[in-house]
Amino acid sequence: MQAPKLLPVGDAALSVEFADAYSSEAAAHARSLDRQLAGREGIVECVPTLRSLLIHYDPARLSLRGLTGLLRELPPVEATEADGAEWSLPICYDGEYAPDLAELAQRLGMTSEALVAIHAGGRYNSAMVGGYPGFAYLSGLDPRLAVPRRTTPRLAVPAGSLGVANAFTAVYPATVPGGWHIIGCTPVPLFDPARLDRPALIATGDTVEFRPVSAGEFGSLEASFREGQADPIATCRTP
Amino acid sequence: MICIVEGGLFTTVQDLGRHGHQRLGLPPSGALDPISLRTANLVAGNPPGMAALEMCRVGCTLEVQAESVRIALAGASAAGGVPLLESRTLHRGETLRIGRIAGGALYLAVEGGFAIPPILGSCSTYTRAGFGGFEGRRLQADDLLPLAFLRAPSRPERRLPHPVPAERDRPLRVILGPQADHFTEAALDALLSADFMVTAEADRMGLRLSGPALAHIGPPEIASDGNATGCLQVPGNGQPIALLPDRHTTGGYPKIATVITADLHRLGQSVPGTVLRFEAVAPEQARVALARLEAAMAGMAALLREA
Repeated sequence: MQAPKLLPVGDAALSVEFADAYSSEAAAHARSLDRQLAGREGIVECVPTLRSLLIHYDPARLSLRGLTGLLRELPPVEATEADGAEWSLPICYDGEYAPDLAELAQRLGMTSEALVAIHAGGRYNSAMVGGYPGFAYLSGLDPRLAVPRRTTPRLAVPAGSLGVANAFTAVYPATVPGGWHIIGCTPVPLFDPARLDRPALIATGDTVEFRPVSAGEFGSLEASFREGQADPIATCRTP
Repeated sequence: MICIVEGGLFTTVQDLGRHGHQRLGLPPSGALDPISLRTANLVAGNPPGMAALEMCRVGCTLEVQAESVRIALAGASAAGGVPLLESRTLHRGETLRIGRIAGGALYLAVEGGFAIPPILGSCSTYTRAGFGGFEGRRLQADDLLPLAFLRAPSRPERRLPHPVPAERDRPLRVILGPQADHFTEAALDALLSADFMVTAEADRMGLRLSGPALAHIGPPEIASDGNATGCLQVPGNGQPIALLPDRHTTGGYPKIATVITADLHRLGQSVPGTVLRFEAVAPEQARVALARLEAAMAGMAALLREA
């Protein structure tokens, strides 16, 4: 691997850029450097992205020179395989939960059932969490399902919606504007600031699989999460 | 308790921000003008980062429903003539009306702070996701904010002779990049010579600016990378957006330059119609500027006088 680019982002952040575009190797390098920097003096927090690590530092305690010196002293980062938690998310790919499924299947020249089988058969890696709290860009989408975003974004995509766009699939943790094609929905609350140990269910580096459920099971799961009878983490974590 | 009689335009509880959760997509939030927040806390007798009310452009009206409470204001001045930088004790039933604010943000600190539990390490409100501060939203009429102190401690009021000196007429200092190489030479020249006006599209996420279009070399997008407060990101229309504390944690627009820490408080005081100019500096100059600002801030405590 080439030496990463070091790009100052003002005087309180430094981007360590491993590649121009997303690659699983670049993302893995970013996570590896993130682990190496954990707990270092003067570093406020790090944000692993699709291709880089953004290091937020306290300029009153650490200078740019000090930080670049620290980076030079670290052993070379190595890309590691998926290193996080594993999740199985229930998804309803039916009817009102999948408003773009039929149109997308037609555009891709396959049946809705075939599209769902390909999507639900995949195993995904969380390449970056960003944009919105708990919004995880999941890589590993079958290239047959790769399409650009919708030309007209929706003003409100319901929380839990499962989308695909370009090389990624993602689940919307909250109701927000969005342009991804919606092919399903999960009843699992993905972001909850009161869940102190894990406010966002899916972290960068985690592995995610999807488990198709009926509209009936969606409803009962949704009710059990809402009423606190089921714990989202315990329900979805796979050993 | 403090009862909100009128919420003002956008009044929220803010401290110095929620750090350590950007990897989960949570912005840092926190005061638009952290220097003024710290100043208000200094005058009120609080630790510098205690949560206070941040009022944007039109302030709130509040009524005291405690035996007494000591308050202090700092930041942009209010049209109502409420004195800044002077602590004052309000008693039960007294009303304070702030009204229009001549700038971006005014801070009202109360001695002892509000009895509001921090969420993920901060009392800052992040309204977009609806958490933090008071019920995760801006304040409105009839909200009751609990106070940590039942009454104001008995002691003389205090005041500061002037706010922290800031180079108000100087262009905002930026460090070019991280994607300055995605822009034409002419775009970089324009960034550092032209006027950019803050448009009406301005909130705690960012300020959309209007000025000469900054032309990209190649497509106006990048594979998403990390954002920092102060980044000037430039979408396809060439008009920069200055990112503020409620910004996205990552983004796909090239960032031509980033405002330095020592000038973020001035960026945070910008309102629609404010004309911004930018000046490029080297990282070492940014370090000196921040050291100077922090030294000035540290010197403020010695300037406190009994009122």
